[in-house]
Amino acid sequence: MSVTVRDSAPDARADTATHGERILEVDDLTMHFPVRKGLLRRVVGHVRAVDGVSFHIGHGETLGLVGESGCGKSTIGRLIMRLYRPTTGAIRYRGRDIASLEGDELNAVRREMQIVFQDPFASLNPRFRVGEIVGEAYRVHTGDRAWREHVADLLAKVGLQPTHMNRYPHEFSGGQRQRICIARALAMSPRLVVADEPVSALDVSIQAQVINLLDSLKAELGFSFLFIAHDLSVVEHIADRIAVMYLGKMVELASDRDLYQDPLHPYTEALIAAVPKPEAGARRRKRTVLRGDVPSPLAPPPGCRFHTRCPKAMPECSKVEPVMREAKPRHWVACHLFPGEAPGD
Amino acid sequence: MTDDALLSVEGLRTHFFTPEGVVRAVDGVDFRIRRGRTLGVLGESGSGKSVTALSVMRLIPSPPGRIVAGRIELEGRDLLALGDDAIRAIRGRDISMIFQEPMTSLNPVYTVGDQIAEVFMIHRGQSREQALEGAADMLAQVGIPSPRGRLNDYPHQFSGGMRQRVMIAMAIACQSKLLIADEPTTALDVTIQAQILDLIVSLQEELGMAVMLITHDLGVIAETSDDVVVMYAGEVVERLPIDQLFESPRHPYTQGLLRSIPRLGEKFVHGKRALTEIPGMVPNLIRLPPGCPFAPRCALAFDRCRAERPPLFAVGADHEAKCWLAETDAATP
Ligand SMILES: Nc1ncnc2c1ncn2[C@@H]1O[C@H](COP(=O)(O)OP(=O)(O)OP(=O)(O)O)[C@@H](O)[C@H]1O
Ligand SMILES: Nc1ncnc2c1ncn2[C@@H]1O[C@H](COP(=O)(O)OP(=O)(O)OP(=O)(O)O)[C@@H](O)[C@H]1O
Ligand SMILES: [Mg+2]
Ligand SMILES: [Mg+2]
Repeated sequence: MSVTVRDSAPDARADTATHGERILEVDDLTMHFPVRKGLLRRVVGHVRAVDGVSFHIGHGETLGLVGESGCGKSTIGRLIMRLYRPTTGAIRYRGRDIASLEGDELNAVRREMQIVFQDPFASLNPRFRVGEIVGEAYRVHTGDRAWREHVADLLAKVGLQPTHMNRYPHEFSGGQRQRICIARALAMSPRLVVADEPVSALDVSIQAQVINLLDSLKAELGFSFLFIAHDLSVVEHIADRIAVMYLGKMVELASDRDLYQDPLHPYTEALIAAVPKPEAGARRRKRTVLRGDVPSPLAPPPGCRFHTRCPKAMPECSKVEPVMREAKPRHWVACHLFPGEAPGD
Repeated sequence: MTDDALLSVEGLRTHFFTPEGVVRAVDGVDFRIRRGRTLGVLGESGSGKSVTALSVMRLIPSPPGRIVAGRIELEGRDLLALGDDAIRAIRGRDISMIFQEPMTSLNPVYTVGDQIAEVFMIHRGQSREQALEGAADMLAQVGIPSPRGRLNDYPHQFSGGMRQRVMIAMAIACQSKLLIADEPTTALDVTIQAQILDLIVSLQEELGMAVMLITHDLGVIAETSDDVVVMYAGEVVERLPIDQLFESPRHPYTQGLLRSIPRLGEKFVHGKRALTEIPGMVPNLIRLPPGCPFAPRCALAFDRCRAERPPLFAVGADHEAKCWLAETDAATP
């Protein structure tokens, strides 16, 4: 069945003409959360959750974002959605900096971007019926009297029944709830969708269903996509390009193939080597490639933040912070081993 | 069948009697763990993995839970027949466990050093001083930097991964015959996970410990286990040596799981393909269908599957599957 969800599909070509090839450009983005202590709630430091990150997403492109827990992935997703206001930096959405937009202007932009969160249990209001959850924003915004038909179309699109409209979230399994969240995200025909660990909370046997669904919806509707996950196998499956983060910094950015076949940053290499391999003969493989813990983002190490765990660290790594450079065509890395082309185009 | 089994579990059924009905959390579980070997327990959320482990430890909260049938034998001793004191002596000395939630199993009001030291004091009768020395050693073994300085820290001062390693240190400090590790690395990042799995495998080789490793991660199973049991809806649906798991799985659920996961690099060899889905959803344990619990999601199901629960059929050396399709190959007893 083919239903038209969007009445004004974002025409990638028209967009490209007016705003270039990119739907989103993030420039030197920083988010520092204050840490407060004591009775007076004095600020005793800052968590440098995102610290000078730049990247872009092309029209219709899927960018994958990976990295260890706490490295700042979700913070980036929330900054793009402008759920936070960045400490510094620019977020250019279709050519316009939205980093400090407010009020109606911000709401208008937010309608074009939607986010799907990790926990499908926490992100659905238990008191509303599925139809209201999915269709409320659409109904309010468009005033469309036939909004229920729109919701029915959306539910069919995500593999649910139109009759599910009248049920409550608790009547659904985890995988079904994530489908409801996806339907809600698609209701406003977004141009950009952020999915933050959309399958991590789901059973293994259900994950493939949701990954396939997101992948085929994206192909059909043509939205641009930021896919955040800690599982590199999942990200590689779905992404066109992959960005790797470590402790608030982006350390490598390349096409899916280049990142897998020719990882440059020692952290990316370690990440790939550490993925447990579901195949015969994997037993007794030496897996440890890194030692030590991820340092605290409250006091990140000087120089390269990875140097405390890096097997290839050199003296300068603890002194000079490496910047992102284009070491190979369209393959960016922040590591002193790869001098490459200096940034600043 | 008794060879050198350290632990043998037969016909285990553990049910929870709730106001909504009887939850048949474990409903027909059989397996053996050999000395010095690792048994991987695979299965999705709610399939009864933790309840199986807690049954072995005799830690099922009662009410509402009860072991309603089965035998659990450790070196030939029937654990279900033991009194409370006897089972307490076995916990820690013979069987130790790493629980699924590290935060809930560390005591927030005692220092990390004291909690590990207590294990040495109880199980090896050491003095507090000796025990703290041992605790620092253990922390070093699980890769905590400057272990001596961290002995006086409280659990909340450790990161999630470090707490998990403290749990592992405590479990290993017992030097028990069997270590039950319930999702020991699920909350951890892959690079830390790799460290912990290596640690468990090397300690096991050193101490000759048997390990029961519970996970839903096929990769983790592949890298640690000798034998595998696959659970679905409270039952063991397949039991097989690790290499068979990847080469000739027989239960359609096991086959489906293997096909549904994306594998690193696969896309560049075969081109991008949609993942193979297992249709439908995880069943409700209170209202299970009469036949095979997997039948409603199974592409190969036929009438008998929907009417009658299959038993475990032997389909090869050390390989059994609870599926009517396996009946034809099964050696008739
Ligand atoms: N609202 C907040 N206030 C203070 N600190 C925060 C806040 N949100 C995130 N942080 C901190 O910022 C850092 C990055 O967090 P973030 O949630 O972005 O990580 P992540 O990469 O998404 O991790 P995970 O994989 O665990 O989801 C962490 O140290 C976190 O504790
Ligand atoms: N105290 C309890 N009361 C009622 N039901 C329970 C109780 N403990 C467990 N159950 C039920 O038993 C079933 C099996 O739970 P169990 O914790 O063994 O699953 P699991 O395989 O370990 O899953 P996970 O991978 O999520 O840890 C679940 O349906 C659970 O809801
Ligand atoms: Mg996150
Ligand atoms: Mg469990």
